Amino acid sequence: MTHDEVRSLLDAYIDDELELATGVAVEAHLRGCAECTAWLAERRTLVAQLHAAALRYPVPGDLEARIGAQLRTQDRRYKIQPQWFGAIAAGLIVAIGGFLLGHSWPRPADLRSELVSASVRAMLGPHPIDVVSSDHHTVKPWLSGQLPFSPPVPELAAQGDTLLGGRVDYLGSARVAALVYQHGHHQINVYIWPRGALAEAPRDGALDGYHLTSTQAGQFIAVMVSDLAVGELATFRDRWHADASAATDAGEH
Amino acid sequence: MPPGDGARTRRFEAVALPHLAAAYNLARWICRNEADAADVVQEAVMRALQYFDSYHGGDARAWLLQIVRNSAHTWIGKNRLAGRVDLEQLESDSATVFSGAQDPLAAVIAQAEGARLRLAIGRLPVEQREVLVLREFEALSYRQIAGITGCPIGTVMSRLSRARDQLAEIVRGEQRASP
Repeated sequence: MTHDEVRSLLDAYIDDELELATGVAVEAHLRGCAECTAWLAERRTLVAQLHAAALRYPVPGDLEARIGAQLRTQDRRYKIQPQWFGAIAAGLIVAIGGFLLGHSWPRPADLRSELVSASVRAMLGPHPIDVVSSDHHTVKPWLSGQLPFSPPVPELAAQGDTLLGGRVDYLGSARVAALVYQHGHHQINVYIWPRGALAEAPRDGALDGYHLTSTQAGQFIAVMVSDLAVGELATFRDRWHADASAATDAGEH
Repeated sequence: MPPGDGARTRRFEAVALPHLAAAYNLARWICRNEADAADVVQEAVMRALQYFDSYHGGDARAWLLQIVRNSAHTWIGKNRLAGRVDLEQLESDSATVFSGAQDPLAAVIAQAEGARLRLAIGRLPVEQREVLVLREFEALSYRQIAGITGCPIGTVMSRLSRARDQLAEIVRGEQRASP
């Protein structure tokens, strides 16, 4: 092991994160290298200082009470009332059905509202797009760098939809790709994740004035969310699907 | 999910709330501001309750911290326009001691050192800062940190190294400056 290699492993050595054999090799080098030994000692002092300095922030006095109060409100809100039995039974059936299909999280109904609120939030926020580009050669590598997968990124300019760019969004605690397109005066958010990684796509529908539709391209699920009319969104979906499938079939990952 | 019945909520509380201190500390270090960190944690806890059915036992702290970390990053996304480092708050924080040291002299020294380190950590890029906080203050393993931050273990290792490099630089610089 070279001097530089050992140096790059010393932090992991301090943290006891090295494989046994690597640790032994590091120690062998340390015995003969005064520079690394001195560096290690200085580093250990720094880490000890960090631990000793009481730098954790204590929880503000009222936070636990605030959270407790909100949890109890949640409970009261969901106290079972007779007129809810039907709805709750239906919800249970959906939940159990989802569970049996092997994907209990997030549930499709939640996923739908989550998708709509994610796209509303993004559009109202100061930065709806993290990587601004109409070129999939820019957007795709950026997304691949942020995510554990590389989503299809159709450009669709020839069909009248301009790719504005992409961003990474959270659905629950999972990260998904989001592409943003301009169609006339409307914007369309397309959420993409690998099949099996999250939930299946929610059923097509409308929520709070937004329409949702979905498709699959190769191993990916894509959900389109927009305030575009249902018919127009469906034709957008088909254009997107055709282009994305062609790209994934061609092996362009 | 039978939405929020009392028993389920109590089960959730038993699993999640013991990790409230870790959750708040992480959010506080990411947001660098007390009020926002409290909001982020509150929102994250509600989100965690919503997804409680997806928690199948195991490392509850890492599970909660992942949700908190994502909520905090969403918060950063929303506040990116301002791009403000709340340095004023940082400076005023760094004057605060949370040390329980008994010996007054030791307490003063600890306070001065702590204040410098606190300021230096606050100035690290958020990617390095969160990894450092999870390692040094929560004593989590690289693997757990990788899970929480959603990046490979190699990235955790290099971010932590760079964070420590920068802190070492600052500490060394100050030692040279002081008599």
